[in-house]
Amino acid sequence: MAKIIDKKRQDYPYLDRPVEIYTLDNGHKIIIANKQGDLVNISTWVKTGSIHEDDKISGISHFLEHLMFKGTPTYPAGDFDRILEAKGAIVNAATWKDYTFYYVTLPKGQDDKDFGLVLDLHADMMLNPILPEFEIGPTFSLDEDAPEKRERYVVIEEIRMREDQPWTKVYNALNHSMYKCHPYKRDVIGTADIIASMPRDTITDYYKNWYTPENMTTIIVGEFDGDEIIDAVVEKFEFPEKRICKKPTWEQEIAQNQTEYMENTAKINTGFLIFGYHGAKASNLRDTILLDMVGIILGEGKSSRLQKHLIEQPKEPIFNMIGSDQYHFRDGNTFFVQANFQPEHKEKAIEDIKKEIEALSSISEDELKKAKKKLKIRFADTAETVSEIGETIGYYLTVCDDLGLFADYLTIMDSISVDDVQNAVKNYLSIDKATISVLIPEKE
Amino acid sequence: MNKFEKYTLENGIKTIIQVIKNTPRTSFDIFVRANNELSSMPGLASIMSRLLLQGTKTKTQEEIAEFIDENGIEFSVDAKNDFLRLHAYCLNEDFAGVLDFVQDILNNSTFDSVEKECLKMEGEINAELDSPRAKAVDNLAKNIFKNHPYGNTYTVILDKIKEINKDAVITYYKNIFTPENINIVVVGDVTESDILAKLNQNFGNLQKTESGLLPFEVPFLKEDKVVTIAKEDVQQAQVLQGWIVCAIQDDDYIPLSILNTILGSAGLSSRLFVELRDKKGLAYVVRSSFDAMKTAGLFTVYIATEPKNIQICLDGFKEEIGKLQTEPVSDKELQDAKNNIIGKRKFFHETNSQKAYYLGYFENMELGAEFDDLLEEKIQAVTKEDILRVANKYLSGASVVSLLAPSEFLGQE
Repeated sequence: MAKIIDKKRQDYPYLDRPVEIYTLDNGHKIIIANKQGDLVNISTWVKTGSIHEDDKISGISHFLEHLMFKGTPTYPAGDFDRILEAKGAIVNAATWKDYTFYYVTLPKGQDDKDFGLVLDLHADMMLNPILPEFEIGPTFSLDEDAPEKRERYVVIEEIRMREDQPWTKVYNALNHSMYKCHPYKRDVIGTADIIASMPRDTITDYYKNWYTPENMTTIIVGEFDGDEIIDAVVEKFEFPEKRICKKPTWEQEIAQNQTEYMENTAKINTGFLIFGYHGAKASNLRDTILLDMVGIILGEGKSSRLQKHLIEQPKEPIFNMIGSDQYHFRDGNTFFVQANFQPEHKEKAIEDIKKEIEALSSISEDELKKAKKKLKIRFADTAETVSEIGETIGYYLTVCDDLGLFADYLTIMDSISVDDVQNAVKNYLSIDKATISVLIPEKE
Repeated sequence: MNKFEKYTLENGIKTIIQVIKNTPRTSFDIFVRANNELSSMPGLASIMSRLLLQGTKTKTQEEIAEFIDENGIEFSVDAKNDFLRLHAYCLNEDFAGVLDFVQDILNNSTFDSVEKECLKMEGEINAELDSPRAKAVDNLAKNIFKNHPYGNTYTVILDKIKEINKDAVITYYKNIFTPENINIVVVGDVTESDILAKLNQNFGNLQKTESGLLPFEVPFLKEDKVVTIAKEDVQQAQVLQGWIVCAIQDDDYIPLSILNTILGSAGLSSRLFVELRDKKGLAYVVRSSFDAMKTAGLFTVYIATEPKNIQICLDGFKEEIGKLQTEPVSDKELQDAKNNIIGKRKFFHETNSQKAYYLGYFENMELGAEFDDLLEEKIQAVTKEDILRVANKYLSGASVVSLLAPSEFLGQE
């Protein structure tokens, strides 16, 4: 059995007890967070996503995520879902650029008995997946009918579903342009032809290389007494063989120095656009918070500048929806403004947004105060439910490699001044660093 | 779940308070019965709700927006088929201020910018309708509830939005915001006596009016219908089939909810998911849903699939529903579905905001806030014969099929 070689305690705002972070001798990290109530959340985060993919295996992290649910020697395909959902569990998984994670939330039952069950099932799924050929389904060429439709085909349907959404179209075009060499340039979900032709061996190799103890973090959130819980988790997470991850390297993106513009069409009636900018690395918490604040001031809520100036004040607004936010990524965040607009006013729509971003060179004390309050509440939000706590811990440990950042969050945020925000705008949001992706209706 | 107390304010407003100690945020909700004859003007309830945030006698729209954002309040006013819900979720320290704010918008809104609000809503709807799924869902609801207020979907609203005017908004507002129509719910770390005094002060003066509520007529679907939308550039077809089923007060509400879980809403283990997704690879999303309203319910099965599979999927729906109508479910599957609903309820009652929603919802739907706690017992009492019976009673009759796909797959080349 793996041994605990390190135990740290970390204060977590709004929780009665510090979070416990255990590191095992094989590199696996286990986190226990105490939150009162009947519900428990268990999740395992794996450092695998589009960041580790290339053109040949684009989408493999997400495809593997689907196949992890297809059974182990102990529990055949379908058992995991059926057994847990019969206890009222919410069961799912997600893959993004930097991570894949698997989670279950459920009432822990009398004497924690359902927690024992979910721990057993979850650990077994993470460590012993069969990835059965039959459930994956045969490879095929997209020009012909699939000989048999199984999970491979489900993933292709998921790709089709996303591609039918205008927001996905406009975001994917933006993303392809923002990254010329970094693996982030590929869609996390991959493409239908790659998924259709990917052999099982490629997937099992990928699993063996990446689902190694040092790439995985398991997080338990719920109300527990005593220390037995950590022993139970260590016991269940007995990796069947020694696995060492082959570390890949990948190219970093070179700084963008001119505005990029792209325009696509679809059979739609309104216009969609996104302005994207490269932000700091997610682990640079100070700069990440700075652009989160800009996102609030510029485009979150009815009092934000974009809402006020472009929707509430004009007599006949040309925008239908508008907002701004930031996605957080290990190798660099994406700050964006997204809008839906009346397509006959495309040029004006783009000019209006450019002007609003330029005007961010001047921020008021009131705006800063509002941004701080909103971030404080967003922060409190992340301690309200067991699943939010699990996700927050998983994010900081997997994307930023540091849960300590979370404890520093409020202190860093409080120290930020109007000048700091204005400087961040100057550093990150000048027009020559913008990528603009537009989707408008096809001409009849 | 947690204990709550019911009170009546001086003017008769029924109020529910649930004290949850050591929680940082308080939820404040006002549910308003809203099935008024005037809502036959599609979109009126939504416009009225939006205008509550567009200015009062003493505050501009901008000041209202600033108040909400500066205090980081989650604030919304939503118009649903049978009710309006005003929802505020704020830090405990801001709660008293929120009550004053709500008092002002309820008593002093000017409803001045009707035209502008209609323009904004039109834009938002147009944006929404560029999603293929939204379009197909809209087409299902407006056809299954034709000429009924439940059928006032996005596209119906777009057709009729020009008819909305300030007089209609004010009349509607006066008709529904009366003490007998309103339920107030407070959930959080509060002291009951303080809150009651404050609620009486802020909302106890709202006067009764003579208007009563006219209930909707019960909608009825005479015959099967297939409605289609051609969209040439989609990779997936949107396929929906819907039936008009029982209302929420009906005894069949619970058995039908369990049937829904078994058929298509348990998550990854329901029958449609296993049969059409896991075994046949037809879709990423496939599910059933049951939306029980006051006058009727809507039961829907949904799949998004490659266009050439439309018929295979419709046959799949038929086969799975057919099984429920002819073969009793096993004891285990029935118990699993019950446990699924009961267990998930905890998940949906985790925050103060969620707790307030369910208390207010059941109270406003005439089932009583207590219903939320009685559910478990009622669920356990359902038998497999009940499942068989409701499957036949509700899913044998006329249905509407709504399809969205490239025209060659709709027989419209």
